[in-house]
Amino acid sequence: MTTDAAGTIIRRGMVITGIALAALACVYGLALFASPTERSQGLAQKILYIHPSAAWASLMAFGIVGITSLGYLLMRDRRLDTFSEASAEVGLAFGVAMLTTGPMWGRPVWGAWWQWEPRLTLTLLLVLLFVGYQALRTAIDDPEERARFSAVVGIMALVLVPFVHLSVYMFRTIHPQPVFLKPSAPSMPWEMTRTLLFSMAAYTLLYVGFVTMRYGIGKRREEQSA
Amino acid sequence: MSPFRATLAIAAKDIRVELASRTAIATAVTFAVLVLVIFNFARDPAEVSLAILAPSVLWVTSAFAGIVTLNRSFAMERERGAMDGLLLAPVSRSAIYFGKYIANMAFVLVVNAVLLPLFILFFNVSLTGALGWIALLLLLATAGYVAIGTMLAAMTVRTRFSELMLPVLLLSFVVPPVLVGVQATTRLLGGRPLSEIVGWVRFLIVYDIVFLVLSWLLFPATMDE
Amino acid sequence: MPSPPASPIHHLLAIDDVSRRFGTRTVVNRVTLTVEPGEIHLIVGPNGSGKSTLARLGVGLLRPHHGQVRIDGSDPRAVEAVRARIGYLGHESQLYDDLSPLENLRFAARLHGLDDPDGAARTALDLVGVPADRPIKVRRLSRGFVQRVALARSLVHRPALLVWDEPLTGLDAGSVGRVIDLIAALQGRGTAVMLISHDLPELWRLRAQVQVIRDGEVAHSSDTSIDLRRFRDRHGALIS
Repeated sequence: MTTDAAGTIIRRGMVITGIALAALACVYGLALFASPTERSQGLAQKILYIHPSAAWASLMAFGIVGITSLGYLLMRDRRLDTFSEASAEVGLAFGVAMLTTGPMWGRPVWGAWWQWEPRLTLTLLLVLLFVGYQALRTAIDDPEERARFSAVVGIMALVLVPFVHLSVYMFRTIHPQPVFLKPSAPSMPWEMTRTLLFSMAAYTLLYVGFVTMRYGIGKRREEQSA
Repeated sequence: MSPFRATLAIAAKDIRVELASRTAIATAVTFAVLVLVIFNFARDPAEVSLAILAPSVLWVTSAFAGIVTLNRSFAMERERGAMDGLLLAPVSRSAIYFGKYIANMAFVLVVNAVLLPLFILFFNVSLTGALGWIALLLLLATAGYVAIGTMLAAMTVRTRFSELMLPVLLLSFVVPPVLVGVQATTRLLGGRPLSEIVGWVRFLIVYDIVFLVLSWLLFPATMDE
Repeated sequence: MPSPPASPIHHLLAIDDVSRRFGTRTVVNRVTLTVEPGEIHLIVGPNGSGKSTLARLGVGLLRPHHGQVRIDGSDPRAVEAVRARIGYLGHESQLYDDLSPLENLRFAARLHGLDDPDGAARTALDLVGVPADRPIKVRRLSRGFVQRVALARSLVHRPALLVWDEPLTGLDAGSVGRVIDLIAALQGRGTAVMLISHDLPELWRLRAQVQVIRDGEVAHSSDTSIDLRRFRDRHGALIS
């Protein structure tokens, strides 16, 4: 028998990732050559095409962990745990991308590397919580116990999100307000909006590619330990 | 057996063990005093006045001391396999959770009750009129994160590095109540009208209800070997 | 405690085609075993053969991956009341180090909702010959004493089914004899006992069925009416 299910999944993930990376190259082409440069922020504003998209992909990844974790506790299907693990790890990678690009923009525009702004703080706390999630996973040997315990943390993290957001929001807010997901019409030129939407789509696809690959790797590890 | 009696029996047992060993509370109180002392010296007296720092000190100390006491809660069930005895008794998982929760709340509140006068003493704050409100805020904030910590401790006690794992997981959940507590305390100490803290109090109540219910619902999953 | 009317179709303990894995290792593999009131089942087998896992499955502490466990027809993991029928002692004593034996047993009695926790605790300690009124923490007791208190803890609510995993560990010769007399007396009162042990010569004087477990399966069934030497000649390699 040479059917390699995990290998097939990994290869599929690589294909999706390849397409996503190509799309990302187009996004940056658009960003640099076909989108207007914002007057007051200058080139730093180009981070608009990385930072919010990475944040989106990261929060989506963590949100999906919460949902698949709940699914695991209800159905006890091991694949849901393998998927949660994959999504958590990819979410961490995007989260780190978001947290490192933020200060690069913040320094020239805010005049400070870091601001305790609601969305930044939320992402930081989630990244830290999911580092804890990974630490918990490595500290448990029995795969079933590991799956149960990490599912509990995955669900708790999802419920924590609105509380962190609200409390920090009540604390203070200096982040640029959401520019197009707000009730009134977008205040950005259409070329910027277009590139940003394209960027978010590319990051979403990148998430799908990464998660598929990571899920395949998780599958392979299970096979090898069998 | 009635769930209420089982809950109380478990809580009473935890308190009896604590009275016999005096480890958790004594350690947590000592820890809290040391944190207060360190905070006092970890500032430049010429630059930062005690009054500005005081609310943060109170809340950080309270939260850390609380977490220290939580570690012991399930360690005592693990040491000689006593958890098996609880799980095999004709009592619900909910009774175990709430029994543990009540005992943990009792310990953390005792630690806070010792901490608060020491804080007033060391940091020379005048609480005129605000004491009751600050105590209420501490109670509300504690009720939420102890609910989470009780459930998390049931898991972390079964992992490697358990004593470190609990704070690593729990501290993220402690951020909202501590943030809110510091904001509200600052306003109370500054003599601001109570109407300014109503929103914060409401936030804490919602936080408590949501996480108490969620932790209670998730607790059986931590026991389901 | 009034014993519930035993419906003829319900076994006291029914382990039905039960399997359990840890990770990818199957530790108990499709075991079927029934225990009726007044029966003693001696579970023997080499280390790591799955005996203790079988015991934990039988009382409902572990979730079976296949098959089901029923006590009086109910799943002990789901039905609280039926857990009162079980007295389980595993490798650990289930005691709190900082409490005295009497306090430990009183708590166990309260957990079981007994009317007179103190009386039940004293009666159980008396069965294993531990003085009830010495206010000494379990932490300070010798290993043999801890084991006797642990045995008493599993008896405090007068369970219909005892599941004891290595109950003779750490006991001196006198205590071993006493515990075996106790098992025989309980059997006479209709209590069922599932015993995991390596101390075959001592236990062979009980009237018991013997299940030999190997690699998580029941490899052979026998009883203590056959000569122990013959039993050992046949299964010596299986029993460490």
